[in-house]
Amino acid sequence: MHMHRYEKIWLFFGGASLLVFLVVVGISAFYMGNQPPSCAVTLDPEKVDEWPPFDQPGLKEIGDNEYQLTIVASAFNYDVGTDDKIVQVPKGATVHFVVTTKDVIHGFELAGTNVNMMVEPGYVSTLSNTFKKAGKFTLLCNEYCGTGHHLMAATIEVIE
Amino acid sequence: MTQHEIKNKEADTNVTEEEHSLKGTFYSVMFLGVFIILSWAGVWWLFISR
Repeated sequence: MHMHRYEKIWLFFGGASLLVFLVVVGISAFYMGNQPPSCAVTLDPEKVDEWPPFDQPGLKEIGDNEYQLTIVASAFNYDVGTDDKIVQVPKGATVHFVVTTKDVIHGFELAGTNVNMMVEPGYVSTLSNTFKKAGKFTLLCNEYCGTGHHLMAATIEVIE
Repeated sequence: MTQHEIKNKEADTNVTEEEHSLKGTFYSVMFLGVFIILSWAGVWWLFISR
């Protein structure tokens, strides 16, 4: 088959890019252990209130500057374990978010950070983040969940 | 000239025409490729810096 020289160049370029990106995905998944926020962990969405750790939502220190933040999402609220819906963590802390929902699909986005996932009924969504910068971050729902969708928010304060 | 020879001649002419017209395609393909890679690198930088 006759192939133009330019054609060979761009096919090589395209093939090489594909290979590079596949290797990146492979390293991310198998070496760094990245996986979708919710995959295999399930629970009964009607018994969320009795299901550990969701029976006691809130921040819990589990190691050296390491925390687990358990949150129950529902229309139209994030139960973060505090009445004012503000959670304070020290700067540099690693927080493991463990989230589920009692009713419909909700979004879980901590604006200005890489924390962004979907929360589905019957599944436990987990994501970890290390807070490098101090500040106030708004946790908001980015999946339309009903008439009070825009009121659904909480705050994470990263303090020095 | 046999039917076969005529076909071959036509094919040859087509190849010569293509070789003269691929430069623009080459530049557009490479521009698009570089644009995609730069966009990817930009998003990756944003992800790492946060």
